[in-house]
Formats: sequence, C-alpha cells, structure tokens
Amino acid sequence: MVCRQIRGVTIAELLIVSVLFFSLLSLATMFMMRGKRVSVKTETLCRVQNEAVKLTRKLTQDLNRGTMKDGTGQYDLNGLIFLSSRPVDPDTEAEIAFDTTTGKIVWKQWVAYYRDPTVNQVRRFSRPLTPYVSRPIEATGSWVLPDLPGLPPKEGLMVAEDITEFFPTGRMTDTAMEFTIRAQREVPLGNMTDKEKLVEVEISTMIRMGDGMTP
Amino acid sequence: MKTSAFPKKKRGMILPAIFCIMIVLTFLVLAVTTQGTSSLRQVSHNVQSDQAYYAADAGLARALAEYEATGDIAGGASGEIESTGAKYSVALYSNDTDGPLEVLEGISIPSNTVLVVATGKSDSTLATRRSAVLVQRGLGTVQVGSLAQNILANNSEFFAFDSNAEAPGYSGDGVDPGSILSREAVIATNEGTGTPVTLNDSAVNGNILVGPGGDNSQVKTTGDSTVGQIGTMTEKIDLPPIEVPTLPGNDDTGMPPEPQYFKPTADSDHVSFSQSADGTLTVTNQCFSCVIKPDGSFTVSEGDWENTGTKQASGNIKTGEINHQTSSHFDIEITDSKVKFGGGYHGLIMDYETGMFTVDGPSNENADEWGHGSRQTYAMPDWLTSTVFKNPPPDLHNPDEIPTGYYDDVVIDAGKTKLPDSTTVVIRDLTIENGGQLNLPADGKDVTIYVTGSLTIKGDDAILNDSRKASNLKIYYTGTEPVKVSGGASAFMTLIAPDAPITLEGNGSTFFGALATNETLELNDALFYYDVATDGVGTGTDGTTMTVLARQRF
Repeated sequence: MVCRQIRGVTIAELLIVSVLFFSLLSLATMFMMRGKRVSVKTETLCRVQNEAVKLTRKLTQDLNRGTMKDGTGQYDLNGLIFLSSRPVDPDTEAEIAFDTTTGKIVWKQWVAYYRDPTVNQVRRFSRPLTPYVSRPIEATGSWVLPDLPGLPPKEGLMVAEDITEFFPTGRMTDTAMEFTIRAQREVPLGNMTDKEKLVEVEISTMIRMGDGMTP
Repeated sequence: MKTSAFPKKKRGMILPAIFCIMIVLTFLVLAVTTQGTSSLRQVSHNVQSDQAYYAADAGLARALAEYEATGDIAGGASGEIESTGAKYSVALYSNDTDGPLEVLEGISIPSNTVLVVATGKSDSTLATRRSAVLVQRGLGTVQVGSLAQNILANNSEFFAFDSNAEAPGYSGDGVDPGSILSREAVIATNEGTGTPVTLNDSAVNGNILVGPGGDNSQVKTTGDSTVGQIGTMTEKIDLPPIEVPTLPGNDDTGMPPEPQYFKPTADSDHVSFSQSADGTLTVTNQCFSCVIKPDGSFTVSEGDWENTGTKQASGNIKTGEINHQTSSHFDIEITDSKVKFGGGYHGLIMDYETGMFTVDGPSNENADEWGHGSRQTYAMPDWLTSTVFKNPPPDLHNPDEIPTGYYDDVVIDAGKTKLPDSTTVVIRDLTIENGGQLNLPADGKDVTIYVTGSLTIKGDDAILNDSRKASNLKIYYTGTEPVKVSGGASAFMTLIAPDAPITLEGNGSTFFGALATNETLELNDALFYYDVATDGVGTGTDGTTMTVLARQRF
C-alpha cells in the first residue's frame, strides 16, 4: 500500500492565506467594535430616554392633580412647587375630595420636584397641608424654592437620573403649561470624542393641570 | 514495525468549543430577549395607560356634552374608541338635596351638583384610568331679593329667610333661626360686562345673577369673601315704572272752578294761561304746552330745540313726582311754593311767595329763547295762584300717625309715628333720624309709602315694623337723591328706588326684605336678609345649563 504523498504549501500560498485571514479578522474586529459602540450607545440612549420619559410621566400624573392658582405655584430651572389633591393616606382617604360648599377641589399636600444639579437627579418631595383647603390662597406651610437644595435626599422619592434640565418654558394656556425636560449621559466607552460620548434626549410637552395653572 | 495506515485519532476540541459558544450565545440571546421584553412591557404599559386615559377623557367629554344637551347621559354611559379598542364607561352621581351628599365612598359633593366619573380601560384591560368632573347645574328661574346695576359689599353678608316660617310670637334678635334658608339669597345685576359686583370680605349665602352675556368674571371677590353659584340671566330684569297714585282729599273743597283766561302781553306768540270749567289749567307758548289738573298731575312738552330733540315730561306738582319721557329733559323744579319748567325755546316759573311768574319773551329768536337766558316777569292773577298752589300738601313733624294722603316734608326725629293699616301716603321729603321711628304695629299691614323728593332713614330701628313682614311695608322712591338706610332689628320692608343709589350702612345695620335700584347698591358693615315671602323684586332666569366646578384625572 502506498501512502499518498501529502503536498506542502508554498510560502506564497501561506502568505496569501495569512493576508486573507488577518484581513477577515480585522474586518470582523472592526465590525464587532463598531457594533459594540453602536450597541452601548443605543443602550445609553435608551436609558437616557427612559429617564426623561419617567420624569415626564410622573410629572404629568402629579400635575394632573395639581394647581398653581393664587400664587401657590413656584418654579425655576431646578425646582417646581405646587399644590396637589392626592390623598396623604390613600388607605383611609378617598381618591378625591370636594369642598361641600363650593364644589372646589380639596388640596391636601404640597409637592415639590427638585433637580440636584450636582448629581443630575430629580427627587419628589411632599408635605401634607394642615388643614386641607379648597381655596389655594389659604394653603400654608409651603417651601420656597431656596429651601429645596437643603431638603434631605432621603426624604424624597428618586424620580429620574441624568436630568440636566427640567423647567417650564413659560408657554401656557389656562389649563396647561409646557415643560422642557433634557436628559444627558456619557457613553461608557473610550476612544470617542467628548461630543461623540454625549447622548442627549429632549422632551417638550404640554402638561395639563388638574385645576388651573396660573402661577 | 507495524504501522497503521491512519494516524492515531486525537481528541477534538470542536464539541466543547461549540458547546461553550452555544452557552454564551444562549445567555446573550436571553439577556437581549429579557431586556427587550422588559422594554416592550414598559412601553406597552405606557401605551395602554395612555389609551385608558384618553378613553376616559373621551367618555367624559361625550357624557358632558350629552348632559348639557339633555340633562342626562343615557346615551353616553359607555362606549369604545374604535382605533385603539379602549373602552370607557361613565357614571353620574347627582345631589338633589339641600345639603352635601356622599355619593361615593368618602366623596361628598355640594347641593345642586353632579359628579361625572369616566373610567377608561385599555383594550387588554391592563390599564385603568379615571377622569372626573364636578358640574353645577344652572339656577333655573328664581326670585331676586336685591337688584342693582352695581353691587358693592364691604364686610357685609347676604342671607335669605322666610318670614312666614318664623315661629309665632318670635321676638329675638334678627330673624327666627328656623326661618333662615340656606343658599337662597339671590342678588342680581342687569350688567353683563365689567365688574358690577364686588364683594370685599363679604359673603353671599346664596347665588348671584349677572346680566345677559356675563359670567363669573363680573363678580369680583377680595379678602375673605364667599359666594355660592353665579348664573347668567337670559334677560334683564326690568323694574316696572313707579306710578304714584292720585289720592282723593286735600283739594276737593271750596268753590268749583270757573273758566279763566290770561295773557300777559298782546303779542300773539306769547304765553297764555287758560282754565277750563273742570279746573284744568293749560299754558301755551308756541311749541310749549303745559297742562296741570286739579289733582296736581301735569304734562309738559316742547318742540325740538337746537337738535336736542323734543321734550316731554309728566308728574305731579303736589307730590313732586317727575317722569321724564324723552331723552332730552326739561329742567323741572317743584317745591310747595314754586314750580319751574325750563325748556329750550320756552320756560315758565310760578312763584307763590312773590306772586310772580317768569316766562321767555314773545319771540323764539335766539336772544329771546329761554335756553339762552331770555326772562320776563309778570304778576300772577289770583285765580292762577290759587289754581297752581291750591291746598298744598302739609308738612308733618313727629306726628302720632300718618294717615292716607299727600304730605310735603315729613320729619320724624323723636318718638314713634304709627302707620295705620291699609295706608297709602305720598310724601315729597321723608326724613327719619335722631331716634325717631316709623312704626308699623304688630297687626299692621298693607302700607305703601311713595317718596318723590328725598328719603333719609337714619338711626337704629328708624323703621320699626313690628309685623316682621317686609311685604306689609313698601317704600317706593321716585327721586334721584342717594338713599342711605341704617337698618335695625325690625327694619322689615321692601324698598324700590329705581333712579337712586342705595346705601345700607351703620355698625351692624340690618335690613330685612327686598331691595331694588337701577343704580348702585352699597352695603357697609351691613346684613341683608332677603325675605322670600315678598316674592322678591323680580324674576331672573339663569341661562347656564351647567358650570364646571372642578376637574381631575386620577
């Protein structure tokens, strides 16, 4: 039995195969790197968008039950204060209450949103009204905007992170006001310019007040 | 050496490698799937929440539209949003009682309101949202307790009570608490623009009607002011003109009149006076004509002067009543000793004290027109003096009582002056002050007082209506002088003064009854109790079907 002689490869063949192999490898690596960048960037964008949406939805739910009438509303670039009709204790109180003389909504608590510019987090704070009132002008015990930075973060509920701006634009109707919410985060990858690293989402939305918003 | 034709079989790495790759890939797929599912679930939840929320809002809007149109929501109780499949249902909770009513667990609503709650559910029913509106129904047609063009209340309060519901013999301060009607005080203004009603630290325990076209913005409240419902009238409330009655008596004595004629100059275009056999005096001066009857009633007219329009007026020289019937007015002045009709071309003054009368010259050229200062004075013949100033109404000062008749100046500044039953008096100037009291006894009724000149009611209990029913004592004031009333514990009356501003004031001033003026009504530290037994001063119909009081989403 004669074994078939195994043919060797020439240097030229080896070179060609190597070139092809490394080309393919570099291409694959490049695509993988690019894919990873896109993937991480997309994930970051999703996260940023999610944070902006979370804040928008929470704010909408709160403002749907809020008022800023009779000077009870306060806002600046980092804070927002208004009256809310949400029950302080949902287990014992009805979802909604009316003044049985005038039919006006009964306001039960102060609500504040504060964006901490050092960590870009927005927290929600609340403080019960004593007593409850149906005329906003009679509500007492509000914070003022300069109080908000001093509120212990633990007392507030974290609503959203990565929020760089959140403020009323000043555009308003009798029942609604426009807010702009911007969220921003850096993509956690090296080898990118600062501009490329930054992912930003901006939402502008008209939010309806439960009972008027004239500040 | 024995050799194999094939090389020795080596253990391969392919299977483990593929296995590892498969594990890694599986984890990757699982991670991606989990993340994707979570995101999808979140997005789906948000979408469904929005669908439910918009369904609830749509249902509420539809129900409100139907309720406004029909007063019910039978056809709008449930429905579906075709494009999303979200469904809504609407429930209506009505409070038809006089007080608050708990319509849902822990939720009470005021009288005459309806709570409309719409529940929206997404197609998959995963999300449920609700929207609620509290609406107030229109006032319908109501009797108005006080009417004025402008109403200004400072530290004052409006109530309503029913004098027929007071306990027999009740004599406490104010009205019997059992007769007070919650939320039935109705004040009204015919004005539908601007700010005709201002409440400063004042309360209306009832409702306000504003003129056609108006709305809540016509009522301004400051400080600690409260008001019930504000409605918009479909039509203004017109106060009927006050007709001062012609009373028998004072001038029916003496010799019957004889026909007379007098002309101060021979000029054909100058004034002439003539008296007919029934005592009617007619004064003619070209386009000027004045007719005065024995009972004092008069009519006077003149043609157009300098494009100001013709002038016509009527009234009574005994009572001082003056009614201008055209937009261009005569200058009329009536006292118990002087009568003046000043027009444009012509004029006439008759003065009892001097026995003279004054007219314009026998021409109506510019320089001789009354309106440009032309005056000529002549002596009145005796018959003319006695015709015009025959039996003038007497003055009264602290009389024991005021029987039916005409009176000139009536001053009550001490003691009690009684008003007999079924009395109608016409007074030129009525003044009650310094502790004097005009008294209607407990069993008194049907007293009407017409005041044509000035009306002053000052001091606590200046009006002492012991019958405690405002409908038993009516005061009609036809003048234009401001009327100030200091009420009291028994100031039960109906006061109608169409052309005069009315002020209720004085510390603790209280007024019981009904009030009306086409001018301003002002209350300063006063309490006004509308007596529904008077049937008010007019009827107002609120054209508002419903008003949204509060709206919430939850």
